[in-house]
Amino acid sequence: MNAPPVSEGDLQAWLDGRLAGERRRQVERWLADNPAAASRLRAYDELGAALRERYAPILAEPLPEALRRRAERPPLRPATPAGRRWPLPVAAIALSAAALGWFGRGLWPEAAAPPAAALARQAALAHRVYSADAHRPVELGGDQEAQLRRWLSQRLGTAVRVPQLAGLSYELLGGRVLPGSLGPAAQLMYQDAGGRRLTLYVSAETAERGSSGFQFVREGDVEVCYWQAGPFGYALSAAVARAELAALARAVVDQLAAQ
Amino acid sequence: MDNAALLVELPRLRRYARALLGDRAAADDLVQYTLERAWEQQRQRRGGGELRPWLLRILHQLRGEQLRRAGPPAHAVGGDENAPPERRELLDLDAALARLPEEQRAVLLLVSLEDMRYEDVAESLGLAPGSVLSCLSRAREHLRLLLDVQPMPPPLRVLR
Repeated sequence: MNAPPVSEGDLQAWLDGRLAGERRRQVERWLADNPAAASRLRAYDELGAALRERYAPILAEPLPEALRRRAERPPLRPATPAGRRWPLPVAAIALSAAALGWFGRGLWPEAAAPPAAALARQAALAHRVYSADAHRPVELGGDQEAQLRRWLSQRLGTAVRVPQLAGLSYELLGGRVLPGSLGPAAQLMYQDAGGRRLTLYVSAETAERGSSGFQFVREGDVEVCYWQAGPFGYALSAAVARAELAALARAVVDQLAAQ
Repeated sequence: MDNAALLVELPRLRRYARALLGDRAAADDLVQYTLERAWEQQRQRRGGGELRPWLLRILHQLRGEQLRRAGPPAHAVGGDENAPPERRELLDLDAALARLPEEQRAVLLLVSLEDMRYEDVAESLGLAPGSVLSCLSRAREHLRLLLDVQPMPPPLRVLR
């Protein structure tokens, strides 16, 4: 019986257990007749075992906190679509601020609430007042979306983006301008088929800059998820469970990044 | 891609990067950049596929960029005369590994340490599938010679 010749590649594949069936038996028969090659392969096998033994302890090391954090989805630095990149200096400032925020998270003493929490409280209040309004929940309807965006951008003094959440069954009702603590703020309102309302509060004049992760606060039955992204402070409010709100907030972040 | 899936991959990514670079801080930095770019590029990972080869591909792209930018770094791995005797053998293995050309080292580690399929190794390194086996063969022989490991005497046990 003439088996195909055994190549060096066959030997490597055999060593790594990648040969099956007849081919494996052919190589093994060949090795039985070629003790020098068999010895060399045994040396490789020993080296492989030594490598695994040498580096195995790394698997058991506790993960550095910086890496653990990087494994979490960065809510405010999602993929920037090509062609829509921020000018470099702005991006650099946002990035360094994001890095500071990143490492600073968890270092805030519990007692000293960060200023962003004030935005969340205002957002919760605005949500309570206007989402309960049956007659005039918004000043300008979502059917005039371009006009709404222009108006809000003009009042806030910077380009405001209006996320679409129809994919999550929330239709844009519209928006209004509100007095914020440091300047005008915008409120966008969405409604699902069951009449549940969701509001996104946008302030361009928050005390903080840069980007942060999601934070949550509950005001009565209203759950608020708030975060900072570049020049904007955002707060998403609804009378839903925190996990559901977090999913909605991620969709908002994706939408904002995609625009 | 979600946090949990990434967290599961982290220890192995760290181990691989450490073995590849031979330096703890440089390896963790590389893994960190890999995670950042993975989140940036997650939309381009349509159709899924396994997470690990994709992460390793990103890691090697970044590594390639590092090498192009700075030239090969001088690793400070090698014989430490003050190391206790039981550590000296480990250092020798590190040092020998560090002396392999990086591509050989990567292929050897992906196969021996990560137990990756040859196709995935090719994909992770951007190599032609056919070149993985020859590179692997060179790497093994190179490492054996560097460590002066003699071919093993005939088996008292059956290999695999």
